[in-house]
Amino acid sequence: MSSNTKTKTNEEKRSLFDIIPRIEFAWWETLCMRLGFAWLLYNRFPFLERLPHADEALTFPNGIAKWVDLTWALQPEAYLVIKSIMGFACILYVTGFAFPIASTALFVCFLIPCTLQNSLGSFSHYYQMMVLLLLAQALASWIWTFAKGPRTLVQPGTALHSFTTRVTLQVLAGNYVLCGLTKLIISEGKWIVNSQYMPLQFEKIKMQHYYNALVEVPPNVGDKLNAYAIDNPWFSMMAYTPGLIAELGAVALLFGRAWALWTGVFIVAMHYIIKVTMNLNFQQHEAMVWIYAANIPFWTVWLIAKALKIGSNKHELQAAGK
Amino acid sequence: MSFITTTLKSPWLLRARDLVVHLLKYWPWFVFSMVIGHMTKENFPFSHWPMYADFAKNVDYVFFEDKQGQPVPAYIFRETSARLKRQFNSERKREFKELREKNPDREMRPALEKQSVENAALLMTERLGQRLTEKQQAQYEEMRMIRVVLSYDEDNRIKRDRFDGQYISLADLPHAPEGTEVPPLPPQPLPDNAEGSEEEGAE
Repeated sequence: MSSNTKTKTNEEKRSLFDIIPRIEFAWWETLCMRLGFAWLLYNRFPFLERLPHADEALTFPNGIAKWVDLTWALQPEAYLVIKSIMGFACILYVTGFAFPIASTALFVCFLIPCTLQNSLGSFSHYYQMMVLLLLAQALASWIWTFAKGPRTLVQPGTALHSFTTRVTLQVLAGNYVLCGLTKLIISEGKWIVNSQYMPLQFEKIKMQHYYNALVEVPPNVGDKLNAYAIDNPWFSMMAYTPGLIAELGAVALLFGRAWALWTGVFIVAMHYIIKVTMNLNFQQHEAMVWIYAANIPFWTVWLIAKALKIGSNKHELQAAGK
Repeated sequence: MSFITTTLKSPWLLRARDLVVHLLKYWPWFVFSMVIGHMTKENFPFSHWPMYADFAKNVDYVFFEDKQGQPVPAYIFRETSARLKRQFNSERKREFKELREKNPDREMRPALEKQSVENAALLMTERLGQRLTEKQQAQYEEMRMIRVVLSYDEDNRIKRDRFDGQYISLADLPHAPEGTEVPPLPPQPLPDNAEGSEEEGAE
Protein backbone atom coordinates (compact mmCIF):
# COMPACT_ATOMS: atom_id res chain seq x y z
CA MET A 1 0.00 0.00 0.00
CA SER A 2 2.72 2.34 1.02
CA SER A 3 4.68 1.40 -2.10
CA ASN A 4 1.71 2.31 -4.30
CA THR A 5 1.28 5.60 -2.51
CA LYS A 6 4.96 6.35 -2.92
CA THR A 7 4.80 5.62 -6.68
CA LYS A 8 1.73 7.77 -7.02
CA THR A 9 3.39 10.62 -5.16
CA ASN A 10 6.38 10.38 -7.48
CA GLU A 11 4.07 10.44 -10.50
CA GLU A 12 2.27 13.49 -9.17
CA LYS A 13 5.55 15.27 -8.62
CA ARG A 14 6.45 15.07 -12.29
CA SER A 15 6.26 18.41 -13.97
CA LEU A 16 6.93 19.84 -17.42
CA PHE A 17 10.65 19.55 -16.77
CA ASP A 18 10.60 15.90 -15.73
CA ILE A 19 11.35 13.74 -18.68
CA ILE A 20 11.40 9.98 -18.28
CA PRO A 21 13.90 8.45 -17.80
CA ARG A 22 15.12 11.47 -16.01
CA ILE A 23 18.88 11.79 -16.07
CA GLU A 24 20.38 14.28 -13.69
CA PHE A 25 23.53 15.48 -15.41
CA ALA A 26 26.26 16.62 -13.07
CA TRP A 27 27.75 20.11 -13.46
CA TRP A 28 31.05 18.75 -14.81
CA GLU A 29 29.23 16.68 -17.43
CA THR A 30 27.26 19.62 -18.78
CA LEU A 31 30.41 21.76 -18.63
CA CYS A 32 32.23 19.22 -20.82
CA MET A 33 29.24 19.13 -23.19
CA ARG A 34 29.12 22.91 -23.45
CA LEU A 35 32.85 23.01 -24.04
CA GLY A 36 32.62 20.39 -26.78
CA PHE A 37 29.62 21.95 -28.47
CA ALA A 38 31.08 25.46 -28.31
CA TRP A 39 34.32 24.17 -29.84
CA LEU A 40 32.30 22.56 -32.63
CA LEU A 41 30.30 25.73 -33.22
CA TYR A 42 33.36 27.97 -33.25
CA ASN A 43 35.25 25.77 -35.69
CA ARG A 44 32.34 25.17 -38.02
CA PHE A 45 31.04 28.69 -38.50
CA PRO A 46 30.31 29.05 -42.25
CA PHE A 47 33.05 30.78 -44.24
CA LEU A 48 32.12 34.01 -45.99
CA GLU A 49 33.48 32.47 -49.20
CA ARG A 50 30.83 29.77 -48.95
CA LEU A 51 27.96 32.26 -48.81
CA PRO A 52 26.29 33.94 -51.80
CA HIS A 53 28.16 36.87 -53.30
CA ALA A 54 27.32 40.22 -51.66
CA ASP A 55 25.77 41.64 -54.85
CA GLU A 56 23.94 38.49 -55.77
CA ALA A 57 20.14 38.15 -55.60
CA LEU A 58 18.83 35.22 -53.58
CA THR A 59 17.20 33.03 -56.23
CA PHE A 60 15.37 30.77 -53.78
CA PRO A 61 14.95 32.56 -50.41
CA ASN A 62 14.68 29.99 -47.65
CA GLY A 63 13.41 30.11 -44.06
CA ILE A 64 13.19 33.63 -42.64
CA ALA A 65 14.92 35.01 -45.77
CA LYS A 66 11.48 34.73 -47.42
CA TRP A 67 10.25 37.56 -45.22
CA VAL A 68 13.33 39.35 -43.90
CA ASP A 69 16.17 40.79 -45.97
CA LEU A 70 19.33 39.21 -44.57
CA THR A 71 21.64 40.11 -47.43
CA TRP A 72 23.30 42.85 -45.35
CA ALA A 73 25.08 40.03 -43.55
CA LEU A 74 26.97 39.21 -46.75
CA GLN A 75 29.02 42.40 -46.49
CA PRO A 76 32.47 41.51 -45.08
CA GLU A 77 32.14 44.02 -42.22
CA ALA A 78 28.73 42.69 -41.15
CA TYR A 79 29.99 39.12 -41.39
CA LEU A 80 32.95 40.00 -39.17
CA VAL A 81 30.62 41.51 -36.56
CA ILE A 82 28.44 38.38 -36.55
CA LYS A 83 31.50 36.16 -36.27
CA SER A 84 32.87 38.23 -33.37
CA ILE A 85 29.54 38.05 -31.52
CA MET A 86 29.56 34.34 -32.13
CA GLY A 87 33.03 34.08 -30.58
CA PHE A 88 32.02 35.99 -27.45
CA ALA A 89 28.78 34.03 -27.19
CA CYS A 90 30.75 30.78 -27.34
CA ILE A 91 32.83 31.86 -24.33
CA LEU A 92 29.72 32.92 -22.41
CA TYR A 93 28.02 29.66 -23.40
CA VAL A 94 30.87 27.58 -21.95
CA THR A 95 30.82 29.46 -18.65
CA GLY A 96 27.13 28.68 -18.26
CA PHE A 97 26.33 32.21 -17.09
CA ALA A 98 23.39 33.97 -18.78
CA PHE A 99 22.75 30.75 -20.65
CA PRO A 100 19.49 31.87 -22.33
CA ILE A 101 21.27 34.92 -23.75
CA ALA A 102 24.37 33.01 -24.88
CA SER A 103 22.41 30.22 -26.57
CA THR A 104 20.03 32.68 -28.26
CA ALA A 105 22.94 34.80 -29.52
CA LEU A 106 24.63 31.71 -30.92
CA PHE A 107 21.40 30.62 -32.56
CA VAL A 108 20.93 33.99 -34.28
CA CYS A 109 24.61 34.15 -35.33
CA PHE A 110 24.26 30.80 -37.08
CA LEU A 111 20.73 31.32 -38.36
CA ILE A 112 21.63 34.34 -40.53
CA PRO A 113 24.56 33.02 -42.61
CA CYS A 114 23.20 29.47 -42.79
CA THR A 115 19.81 30.70 -44.06
CA LEU A 116 21.61 32.72 -46.73
CA GLN A 117 23.65 29.71 -47.72
CA ASN A 118 20.45 27.75 -48.23
CA SER A 119 18.80 30.50 -50.28
CA LEU A 120 20.26 29.69 -53.70
CA GLY A 121 18.21 26.59 -54.42
CA SER A 122 20.52 24.07 -52.79
CA PHE A 123 19.83 22.79 -49.31
CA SER A 124 22.87 21.83 -47.30
CA HIS A 125 22.10 19.59 -44.37
CA TYR A 126 25.39 20.49 -42.80
CA TYR A 127 24.31 23.05 -40.21
CA GLN A 128 20.68 22.13 -39.54
CA MET A 129 21.24 19.81 -36.61
CA MET A 130 23.67 22.17 -34.85
CA VAL A 131 21.32 25.12 -35.22
CA LEU A 132 18.29 23.06 -34.18
CA LEU A 133 20.08 22.01 -30.99
CA LEU A 134 20.92 25.65 -30.33
CA LEU A 135 17.30 26.63 -30.90
CA ALA A 136 16.10 23.91 -28.53
CA GLN A 137 18.61 24.96 -25.86
CA ALA A 138 17.65 28.61 -26.21
CA LEU A 139 13.91 27.87 -26.03
CA ALA A 140 14.31 25.46 -23.12
CA SER A 141 16.45 27.89 -21.15
CA TRP A 142 13.97 30.75 -21.68
CA ILE A 143 11.07 28.53 -20.59
CA TRP A 144 13.10 27.60 -17.51
CA THR A 145 13.84 31.25 -16.81
CA PHE A 146 10.20 32.29 -17.05
CA ALA A 147 9.13 29.36 -14.88
CA LYS A 148 11.80 29.70 -12.19
CA GLY A 149 12.22 33.43 -12.02
CA PRO A 150 14.46 36.08 -13.61
CA ARG A 151 17.38 35.33 -11.29
CA THR A 152 18.09 32.19 -13.30
CA LEU A 153 18.66 34.37 -16.35
CA VAL A 154 22.18 35.20 -15.22
CA GLN A 155 22.94 32.52 -12.63
CA PRO A 156 24.43 29.30 -13.89
CA GLY A 157 22.56 26.32 -12.47
CA THR A 158 23.18 22.61 -12.65
CA ALA A 159 19.44 21.97 -12.85
CA LEU A 160 19.03 24.32 -15.83
CA HIS A 161 21.92 22.75 -17.73
CA SER A 162 20.69 19.29 -16.87
CA PHE A 163 17.27 20.21 -18.24
CA THR A 164 18.61 21.74 -21.46
CA THR A 165 20.79 18.67 -21.99
CA ARG A 166 17.76 16.38 -21.70
CA VAL A 167 15.94 18.60 -24.19
CA THR A 168 18.97 18.49 -26.51
CA LEU A 169 18.96 14.70 -26.43
CA GLN A 170 15.26 14.66 -27.28
CA VAL A 171 15.71 16.96 -30.27
CA LEU A 172 18.73 14.96 -31.45
CA ALA A 173 16.77 11.73 -31.21
CA GLY A 174 13.66 13.28 -32.78
CA ASN A 175 15.53 14.41 -35.86
CA TYR A 176 17.27 11.09 -36.40
CA VAL A 177 13.94 9.28 -36.12
CA LEU A 178 12.33 11.82 -38.47
CA CYS A 179 15.12 11.15 -40.99
CA GLY A 180 14.23 7.45 -40.95
CA LEU A 181 10.50 8.13 -41.16
CA THR A 182 10.98 10.49 -44.12
CA LYS A 183 12.81 7.70 -45.97
CA LEU A 184 9.82 5.42 -45.46
CA ILE A 185 7.32 8.14 -46.43
CA ILE A 186 9.06 9.38 -49.60
CA SER A 187 10.02 5.92 -50.85
CA GLU A 188 6.54 4.61 -49.94
CA GLY A 189 8.15 1.92 -47.83
CA LYS A 190 10.47 0.72 -50.60
CA TRP A 191 13.68 2.31 -49.32
CA ILE A 192 15.45 -0.96 -48.59
CA VAL A 193 14.54 -2.49 -51.97
CA ASN A 194 15.47 0.69 -53.84
CA SER A 195 18.86 0.90 -52.13
CA GLN A 196 20.07 -1.42 -54.93
CA TYR A 197 20.46 1.79 -56.99
CA MET A 198 23.01 3.16 -54.54
CA PRO A 199 25.98 2.54 -56.92
CA LEU A 200 24.55 5.24 -59.19
CA GLN A 201 24.66 7.66 -56.28
CA PHE A 202 28.21 6.62 -55.51
CA GLU A 203 29.28 7.31 -59.09
CA LYS A 204 27.55 10.69 -58.98
CA ILE A 205 29.28 11.62 -55.69
CA LYS A 206 32.63 10.54 -57.16
CA MET A 207 32.17 12.74 -60.20
CA GLN A 208 31.05 15.63 -58.01
CA HIS A 209 34.21 15.27 -55.92
CA TYR A 210 36.20 15.51 -59.11
CA TYR A 211 34.43 18.59 -60.43
CA ASN A 212 34.87 20.40 -57.10
CA ALA A 213 38.53 21.10 -57.85
CA LEU A 214 39.31 18.83 -60.82
CA VAL A 215 41.21 16.50 -58.52
CA GLU A 216 40.74 12.78 -59.06
CA VAL A 217 39.64 10.86 -55.97
CA PRO A 218 42.03 7.91 -55.67
CA PRO A 219 40.29 4.51 -55.92
CA ASN A 220 39.32 3.25 -52.51
CA VAL A 221 37.39 0.46 -50.87
CA GLY A 222 34.14 2.24 -51.78
CA ASP A 223 34.84 1.68 -55.49
CA LYS A 224 35.30 -2.05 -54.96
CA LEU A 225 32.21 -2.34 -52.80
CA ASN A 226 30.04 -0.45 -55.29
CA ALA A 227 31.38 -2.44 -58.25
CA TYR A 228 30.36 -5.55 -56.33
CA ALA A 229 26.97 -4.03 -55.46
CA ILE A 230 26.12 -3.39 -59.13
CA ASP A 231 26.08 -7.14 -59.80
CA ASN A 232 24.77 -8.06 -56.37
CA PRO A 233 21.80 -5.85 -55.46
CA TRP A 234 21.33 -7.65 -52.14
CA PHE A 235 24.65 -6.24 -50.98
CA SER A 236 23.39 -2.63 -50.96
CA MET A 237 20.23 -3.70 -49.16
CA MET A 238 22.31 -5.49 -46.54
CA ALA A 239 24.76 -2.60 -46.14
CA TYR A 240 22.23 0.21 -45.82
CA THR A 241 19.40 -1.44 -43.87
CA PRO A 242 21.29 -1.05 -40.54
CA GLY A 243 21.41 2.67 -41.31
CA LEU A 244 17.65 2.87 -41.45
CA ILE A 245 17.40 0.81 -38.27
CA ALA A 246 19.89 3.14 -36.54
CA GLU A 247 17.84 6.19 -37.51
CA LEU A 248 14.49 4.77 -36.45
CA GLY A 249 16.05 3.29 -33.33
CA ALA A 250 17.55 6.64 -32.31
CA VAL A 251 14.62 6.97 -29.90
CA ALA A 252 16.72 4.71 -27.66
CA LEU A 253 18.92 7.75 -27.00
CA LEU A 254 16.24 8.67 -24.48
CA PHE A 255 16.15 5.37 -22.62
CA GLY A 256 18.96 6.22 -20.20
CA ARG A 257 22.69 6.70 -20.04
CA ALA A 258 23.79 3.24 -21.18
CA TRP A 259 21.20 3.19 -23.98
CA ALA A 260 22.37 6.62 -25.10
CA LEU A 261 25.98 5.45 -25.18
CA TRP A 262 25.35 2.31 -27.24
CA THR A 263 22.81 3.97 -29.54
CA GLY A 264 25.26 6.81 -30.08
CA VAL A 265 28.04 4.36 -30.96
CA PHE A 266 25.66 2.58 -33.36
CA ILE A 267 24.79 5.88 -35.06
CA VAL A 268 28.47 6.82 -35.42
CA ALA A 269 29.10 3.35 -36.89
CA MET A 270 26.28 3.99 -39.38
CA HIS A 271 27.92 7.26 -40.40
CA TYR A 272 31.24 5.45 -40.79
CA ILE A 273 29.69 2.84 -43.13
CA ILE A 274 28.22 5.68 -45.23
CA LYS A 275 31.61 7.42 -45.27
CA VAL A 276 33.35 4.29 -46.56
CA THR A 277 30.72 3.25 -49.09
CA MET A 278 29.54 6.66 -50.31
CA ASN A 279 32.39 9.13 -49.59
CA LEU A 280 30.02 11.27 -47.52
CA ASN A 281 31.14 12.87 -44.27
CA PHE A 282 28.99 13.59 -41.24
CA GLN A 283 31.64 15.05 -38.99
CA GLN A 284 29.37 17.49 -37.19
CA HIS A 285 26.60 14.98 -36.64
CA GLU A 286 29.11 12.51 -35.27
CA ALA A 287 30.59 15.16 -32.98
CA MET A 288 27.16 16.00 -31.57
CA VAL A 289 26.41 12.32 -30.96
CA TRP A 290 29.76 11.90 -29.15
CA ILE A 291 29.13 15.01 -27.05
CA TYR A 292 25.52 14.48 -26.01
CA ALA A 293 24.77 10.78 -26.44
CA ALA A 294 28.02 8.95 -25.81
CA ASN A 295 28.95 11.39 -22.99
CA ILE A 296 32.52 10.11 -22.74
CA PRO A 297 33.47 12.21 -19.66
CA PHE A 298 30.78 10.53 -17.57
CA TRP A 299 31.76 7.02 -18.60
CA THR A 300 35.44 7.79 -18.09
CA VAL A 301 34.77 8.92 -14.53
CA TRP A 302 32.48 5.94 -14.03
CA LEU A 303 35.18 3.52 -15.18
CA ILE A 304 37.84 5.18 -13.01
CA ALA A 305 35.50 5.14 -10.03
CA LYS A 306 34.76 1.50 -10.64
CA ALA A 307 38.43 0.64 -11.00
CA LEU A 308 39.26 2.45 -7.78
CA LYS A 309 36.13 1.01 -6.17
CA ILE A 310 35.12 4.38 -4.81
CA GLY A 311 31.51 3.95 -5.85
CA SER A 312 30.54 2.70 -9.27
CA ASN A 313 26.87 3.51 -8.80
CA LYS A 314 25.72 5.99 -11.43
CA HIS A 315 23.43 7.69 -8.91
CA GLU A 316 26.32 8.16 -6.50
CA LEU A 317 28.35 9.79 -9.26
CA GLN A 318 25.46 12.07 -10.09
CA ALA A 319 25.02 12.98 -6.44
CA ALA A 320 28.75 13.65 -6.17
CA GLY A 321 28.49 15.89 -9.19
CA LYS A 322 25.77 17.93 -7.60
CA MET B 1 -23.59 2.33 -31.65
CA SER B 2 -22.50 -0.27 -29.14
CA PHE B 3 -19.98 -1.49 -31.72
CA ILE B 4 -18.39 1.96 -31.84
CA THR B 5 -18.36 2.21 -28.04
CA THR B 6 -16.80 -1.24 -27.73
CA THR B 7 -14.17 -0.36 -30.36
CA LEU B 8 -13.31 2.88 -28.61
CA LYS B 9 -12.84 0.97 -25.37
CA SER B 10 -10.64 -1.63 -27.06
CA PRO B 11 -7.44 -2.19 -25.07
CA TRP B 12 -5.40 -1.77 -28.27
CA LEU B 13 -6.80 1.70 -28.89
CA LEU B 14 -6.30 2.60 -25.26
CA ARG B 15 -2.69 1.44 -25.47
CA ALA B 16 -2.14 3.60 -28.54
CA ARG B 17 -3.71 6.56 -26.76
CA ASP B 18 -1.57 5.94 -23.68
CA LEU B 19 1.54 5.84 -25.87
CA VAL B 20 0.71 9.19 -27.45
CA VAL B 21 -0.11 10.70 -24.06
CA HIS B 22 3.10 9.30 -22.62
CA LEU B 23 5.20 10.68 -25.46
CA LEU B 24 3.60 14.11 -25.25
CA LYS B 25 3.89 14.21 -21.48
CA TYR B 26 7.43 13.01 -21.05
CA TRP B 27 9.14 13.56 -24.40
CA PRO B 28 7.40 16.67 -25.78
CA TRP B 29 10.58 18.01 -27.42
CA PHE B 30 11.11 14.70 -29.15
CA VAL B 31 7.56 14.69 -30.55
CA PHE B 32 7.42 18.35 -31.53
CA SER B 33 10.83 18.35 -33.20
CA MET B 34 9.57 15.54 -35.46
CA VAL B 35 6.19 17.17 -36.13
CA ILE B 36 7.69 20.61 -36.86
CA GLY B 37 10.42 19.12 -39.07
CA HIS B 38 7.88 17.10 -41.05
CA MET B 39 5.53 20.05 -41.50
CA THR B 40 8.05 22.76 -42.33
CA LYS B 41 10.08 20.58 -44.74
CA GLU B 42 13.14 22.47 -45.99
CA ASN B 43 13.03 25.77 -44.14
CA PHE B 44 16.25 26.48 -42.31
CA PRO B 45 16.90 25.49 -39.55
CA PHE B 46 14.08 22.98 -39.86
CA SER B 47 14.31 20.00 -42.15
CA HIS B 48 12.56 16.73 -42.76
CA TRP B 49 15.91 15.26 -43.84
CA PRO B 50 15.03 14.15 -47.37
CA MET B 51 18.61 13.31 -48.42
CA TYR B 52 18.67 9.84 -49.97
CA ALA B 53 15.08 9.30 -48.89
CA ASP B 54 14.63 7.34 -52.09
CA PHE B 55 17.00 5.99 -54.71
CA ALA B 56 16.03 6.97 -58.22
CA LYS B 57 16.82 4.79 -61.22
CA ASN B 58 18.64 7.74 -62.73
CA VAL B 59 20.67 10.45 -61.02
CA ASP B 60 22.40 13.50 -62.40
CA TYR B 61 25.30 15.85 -61.79
CA VAL B 62 26.31 19.08 -63.48
CA PHE B 63 29.52 20.94 -64.27
CA PHE B 64 30.69 23.82 -66.44
CA GLU B 65 32.93 23.83 -69.49
CA ASP B 66 34.93 26.68 -71.00
CA LYS B 67 35.28 27.53 -74.69
CA GLN B 68 37.93 24.83 -75.18
CA GLY B 69 35.65 22.20 -73.64
CA GLN B 70 37.75 22.03 -70.47
CA PRO B 71 35.82 21.64 -67.20
CA VAL B 72 35.75 24.65 -64.86
CA PRO B 73 36.16 23.62 -61.16
CA ALA B 74 33.19 24.41 -58.94
CA TYR B 75 35.29 26.15 -56.28
CA ILE B 76 35.98 28.97 -58.76
CA PHE B 77 32.30 29.92 -58.27
CA ARG B 78 32.56 29.62 -54.46
CA GLU B 79 30.39 26.53 -54.74
CA THR B 80 30.66 22.78 -54.61
CA SER B 81 29.58 20.49 -57.40
CA ALA B 82 26.83 19.03 -55.19
CA ARG B 83 25.41 22.50 -54.48
CA LEU B 84 25.52 23.42 -58.19
CA LYS B 85 23.50 20.34 -59.03
CA ARG B 86 20.87 21.15 -56.42
CA GLN B 87 20.68 24.75 -57.59
CA PHE B 88 20.25 23.56 -61.16
CA ASN B 89 17.45 21.21 -60.20
CA SER B 90 15.65 23.94 -58.25
CA GLU B 91 15.88 26.19 -61.33
CA ARG B 92 14.76 23.35 -63.60
CA LYS B 93 11.71 22.58 -61.48
CA ARG B 94 10.72 26.23 -61.31
CA GLU B 95 11.13 26.62 -65.09
CA PHE B 96 9.08 23.48 -65.70
CA LYS B 97 6.31 24.70 -63.41
CA GLU B 98 6.14 28.04 -65.23
CA LEU B 99 6.15 26.36 -68.64
CA ARG B 100 3.42 23.95 -67.56
CA GLU B 101 1.21 26.81 -66.46
CA LYS B 102 1.41 28.23 -69.97
CA ASN B 103 1.07 24.83 -71.75
CA PRO B 104 -0.94 22.42 -69.64
CA ASP B 105 -1.30 19.83 -72.46
CA ARG B 106 -0.10 16.40 -71.43
CA GLU B 107 1.49 15.77 -74.83
CA MET B 108 3.69 18.80 -74.35
CA ARG B 109 5.26 17.46 -71.18
CA PRO B 110 8.42 15.85 -72.71
CA ALA B 111 9.12 18.97 -74.79
CA LEU B 112 8.60 21.19 -71.74
CA GLU B 113 10.91 19.03 -69.67
CA LYS B 114 13.61 19.44 -72.30
CA GLN B 115 12.95 23.16 -72.51
CA SER B 116 13.14 23.54 -68.73
CA VAL B 117 16.56 21.84 -68.69
CA GLU B 118 17.82 24.22 -71.41
CA ASN B 119 16.41 27.29 -69.66
CA ALA B 120 17.79 26.29 -66.26
CA ALA B 121 21.24 25.59 -67.73
CA LEU B 122 21.26 29.03 -69.34
CA LEU B 123 20.15 30.76 -66.14
CA MET B 124 22.80 28.93 -64.13
CA THR B 125 25.55 29.83 -66.62
CA GLU B 126 24.52 33.49 -66.60
CA ARG B 127 24.34 33.68 -62.82
CA LEU B 128 27.58 31.88 -62.07
CA GLY B 129 29.50 33.58 -64.86
CA GLN B 130 28.98 36.80 -62.92
CA ARG B 131 30.87 35.38 -59.95
CA LEU B 132 34.09 35.38 -61.99
CA THR B 133 36.46 38.32 -62.08
CA GLU B 134 37.12 40.11 -65.37
CA LYS B 135 40.46 38.29 -65.64
CA GLN B 136 38.82 34.91 -65.15
CA GLN B 137 36.10 35.76 -67.65
CA ALA B 138 38.77 36.64 -70.20
CA GLN B 139 40.56 33.38 -69.45
CA TYR B 140 37.50 31.17 -69.99
CA GLU B 141 35.97 33.35 -72.77
CA GLU B 142 32.78 31.31 -73.04
CA MET B 143 31.06 28.92 -70.69
CA ARG B 144 28.26 26.38 -70.78
CA MET B 145 26.67 23.96 -68.35
CA ILE B 146 26.80 20.20 -68.85
CA ARG B 147 24.32 17.84 -67.24
CA VAL B 148 25.08 14.12 -67.05
CA VAL B 149 22.32 11.65 -66.19
CA LEU B 150 23.45 8.28 -64.85
CA SER B 151 21.37 5.12 -65.18
CA TYR B 152 21.85 1.38 -65.76
CA ASP B 153 21.94 0.08 -69.32
CA GLU B 154 20.58 -3.29 -70.44
CA ASP B 155 23.82 -5.01 -69.40
CA ASN B 156 23.54 -3.53 -65.91
CA ARG B 157 26.47 -1.16 -66.53
CA ILE B 158 26.37 2.55 -65.69
CA LYS B 159 25.25 4.62 -68.67
CA ARG B 160 25.91 8.39 -69.02
CA ASP B 161 23.50 10.59 -70.97
CA ARG B 162 25.01 14.00 -71.53
CA PHE B 163 23.16 17.26 -72.13
CA ASP B 164 25.20 20.23 -73.39
CA GLY B 165 23.88 23.65 -72.50
CA GLN B 166 24.20 26.72 -74.67
CA TYR B 167 27.52 28.62 -74.66
CA ILE B 168 27.44 32.12 -73.20
CA SER B 169 30.07 34.75 -73.87
CA LEU B 170 31.44 35.81 -70.49
CA ALA B 171 32.61 39.17 -71.85
CA ASP B 172 28.97 40.30 -71.96
CA LEU B 173 28.33 39.56 -68.30
CA PRO B 174 28.96 41.71 -65.21
CA HIS B 175 31.96 40.51 -63.24
CA ALA B 176 33.14 40.26 -59.65
CA PRO B 177 35.73 42.81 -58.44
CA GLU B 178 39.38 41.87 -58.96
CA GLY B 179 40.96 40.32 -55.91
CA THR B 180 37.78 38.49 -54.87
CA GLU B 181 38.63 35.29 -56.72
CA VAL B 182 38.91 32.19 -54.58
CA PRO B 183 42.47 30.89 -54.26
CA PRO B 184 43.05 27.43 -55.74
CA LEU B 185 42.20 24.65 -53.36
CA PRO B 186 44.91 22.21 -52.31
CA PRO B 187 44.50 18.59 -53.40
CA GLN B 188 42.40 16.23 -51.31
CA PRO B 189 41.57 16.32 -48.48
CA LEU B 190 40.15 19.81 -48.82
CA PRO B 191 39.93 21.93 -45.66
CA ASP B 192 36.22 22.46 -46.07
CA ASN B 193 35.67 19.31 -48.01
CA ALA B 194 33.21 17.89 -45.54
CA GLU B 195 30.73 20.50 -46.63
CA GLY B 196 31.13 19.67 -50.27
CA SER B 197 30.83 16.00 -49.71
CA GLU B 198 27.92 16.04 -47.35
CA GLU B 199 24.62 14.46 -47.97
CA GLU B 200 22.36 15.49 -50.82
CA GLY B 201 18.82 16.77 -50.86
CA ALA B 202 16.25 14.53 -52.44
CA GLU B 203 15.29 15.08 -56.01
